[in-house]
Parts: sequence; structure tokens; C-alpha cells
Amino acid sequence: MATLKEEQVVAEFKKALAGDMVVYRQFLQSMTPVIRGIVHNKLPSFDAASVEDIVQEVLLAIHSKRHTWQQDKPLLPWIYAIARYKSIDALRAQNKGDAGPDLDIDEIDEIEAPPSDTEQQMDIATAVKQLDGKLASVVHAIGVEGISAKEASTRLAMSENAVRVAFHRGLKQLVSLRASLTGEP
Amino acid sequence: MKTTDLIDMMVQDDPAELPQQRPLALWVTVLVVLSAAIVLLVGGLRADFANVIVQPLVQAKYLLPLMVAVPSLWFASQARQPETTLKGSLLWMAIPAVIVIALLISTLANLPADKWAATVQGQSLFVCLASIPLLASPILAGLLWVMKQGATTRPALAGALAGLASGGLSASVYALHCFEDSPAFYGVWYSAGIVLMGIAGQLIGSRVLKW
Repeated sequence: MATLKEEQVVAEFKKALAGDMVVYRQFLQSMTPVIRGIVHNKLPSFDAASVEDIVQEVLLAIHSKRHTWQQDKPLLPWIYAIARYKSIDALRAQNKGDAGPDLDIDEIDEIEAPPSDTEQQMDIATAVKQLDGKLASVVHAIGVEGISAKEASTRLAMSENAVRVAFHRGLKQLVSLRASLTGEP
Repeated sequence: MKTTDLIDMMVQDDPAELPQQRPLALWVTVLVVLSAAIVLLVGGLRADFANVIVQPLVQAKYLLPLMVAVPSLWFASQARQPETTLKGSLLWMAIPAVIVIALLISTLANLPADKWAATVQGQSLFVCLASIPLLASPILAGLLWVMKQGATTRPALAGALAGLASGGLSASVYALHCFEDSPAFYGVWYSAGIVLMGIAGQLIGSRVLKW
């Protein structure tokens, strides 16, 4: 795994925040093994499929909280903090009533990711069908067919903003649905 | 679902469409001005305000709560970034706490023991006990609403700081009306109101600020 350079990641994320989807995809893909490493390291007792669930949640959290990154602050600690928070949250959810360890930001090392040989092979279109009615059509149109939010708004007779909101909510729901879809507890 | 599929879908959710940042300072100012207006309209400014405001023990009634509110607000605002650990934030409260305890002890030490209870109780205990949380609640709600848009990784502590900030601000606003100038009164009851708001903030924050 190539070591991630702060400057390079920052440059990519800034371009992504300016709307460059190609760079954004690249950025998320290069962050994925790093996040997987952190989650695996925080939750050694979790199997690879559960780790992957949390990785996906972290990716979505990065996306929905991207406005909280201040462009003059380092980016990697911001990402690591989110990955730790989601990991510890998952641990708390697992052992309910157990307080769990507190977040500690001091040890910011990059951790070698475990091999990800168990990415669930779930067809995305099948997964989308499980969403609530309107969310399913929006996510299918934008996510699977790849049409723009504007086109989707005309087709589905919704405002463009409503389409964006529905798409975002649909993505979140997809992640929370994945457990049942893949037969994981 | 494969993670790469999720990423492919995520990038369709326009990465440039950032949520609006809610300005914390602006909202706090609006809410504090609003609660000051309520205090001045409903209770009214204490009649002797101009005469007593020169006294250090009266000034302390405003300054001590602000010594809680200012660092709490600063940390609450920082808490919106996930990498903020809020380490040492509560230690700042030790400064006003030590001053309050010192003032309380020195006030009571100068009074005969049979006057202590009456001095602590004052004449407006219930108005004070009700007013501070009442004035603080909208401020706390506003703070949590602004902070919810952030991404704190310490929901309970961030909530507690928001509560302390709201309590400190409302106590110093309430002091515009309150005529009790003995540290034995405000040192006990203002502190109680502020701590109560801190606990409320912690309880609410641990739910509301989770994401």
C-alpha cells in the first residue's frame, strides 16, 4: 500500500469539494484501504464483512460531513477521527451498555490494511430495489443509470433539490440495508 | 454491496453541493440579545444598576458566569470538527469555580454562623432558580442545533460544554435584573443553575449530537 501524502490528499479533496467527480472517486478509492486499516485495527474481533460495513459508513460520513473540514487544517487527522468514531460507535452498538474506549486522536499512524478478499458481491441494482419507493427510483436513476439530478427531477416530477436530498438519503439507507442484504447479522 | 459500487454512487451525489454552515457566533449573539430583552422587559433592569455596577462583588456576578461561558463556547465551537478531542476543556471551569469557592468562604467567614442560612437563601431564590435555566434553554437549543451540523466525536462532552455556555450566558444576563449581591447567594445559586444546564446539555447532547 502506497503511503498517503497529506499534500496530495488535500489537493485531491479540494478538487473534489470543487465538484470534480473523477478526482473525488480517486480520492475515496485511495482512502478506502487506509480506512479499512483503521477500522480493522480498532475492531480486531470483527470479521471482514462487518469491517467493510463500517468502512462504507465511514465513507458516507466523510461525504456528509465534508463541510466540517477546514481547508487550512490537516485532512488526514480529520479522516482518521471519523474512522475511529464510527468504529467505536459500532463497537458500542455491539456490546450495548459497555462504555467502550474513548477516542484518542494522539496516535495517528497509518495502519496496514488487511486483505479485502471478502467484499460482498452484491449486485448494486438488486440492493437499490430494497430501498423505500421514491428513494429507490432516485438512486436507481442517478446511481445506476447515471443520469443527472436535473434529468431525474424532470422524469420523477420532483424538484432538483428534492432529488438531491432523496439521493443522499438513499445512499445512507443503502449502507444500513447492506447487512440484511448480505445475510450478515 | 461492494465498496467500489458505493463510491461510484457517492460521487454522483454532487460533491460540490456543501451543506450550509450555520454561524455559531451570530446565533449566540441573537439568542443572548433576545434573552436580555426578555429580562429587561419582563423583570426590568435593577433600579440601582448604575450605582452598584462599580462594586467588584457586583461585577463578579457578570464576570464569573462569563468565565464559564467564554471557554465553553470556544470549545463547543471547536467540537464541530471531528478531530477535536476537547481534552482539558472542563479544566477551564476550575478558574471560576475556585474564585467562587474563595468568595463564598470569605463571605461566610465574616458572618456569624446563625446568619449563614438566611444569607445563602436570599430573597429571590426561586425566581433565580427558575430564571437561569429558563433563559438558558433557548440558548442551549440554538447551540445544539448549530453544533448538530458539525461532526463532534465527543457528543456528551460537547453537549455539556454547550449547556455550561448557555447557563453562563443566561446567568450573566439574569444578573441585569437580580438585586442579590452577596457571593453567598449568587455563588451558590448561579453555580447551581449553570451546572444544571451543563448536565442537561450532556444528557441531550449525547443523543442529539450523535451522527
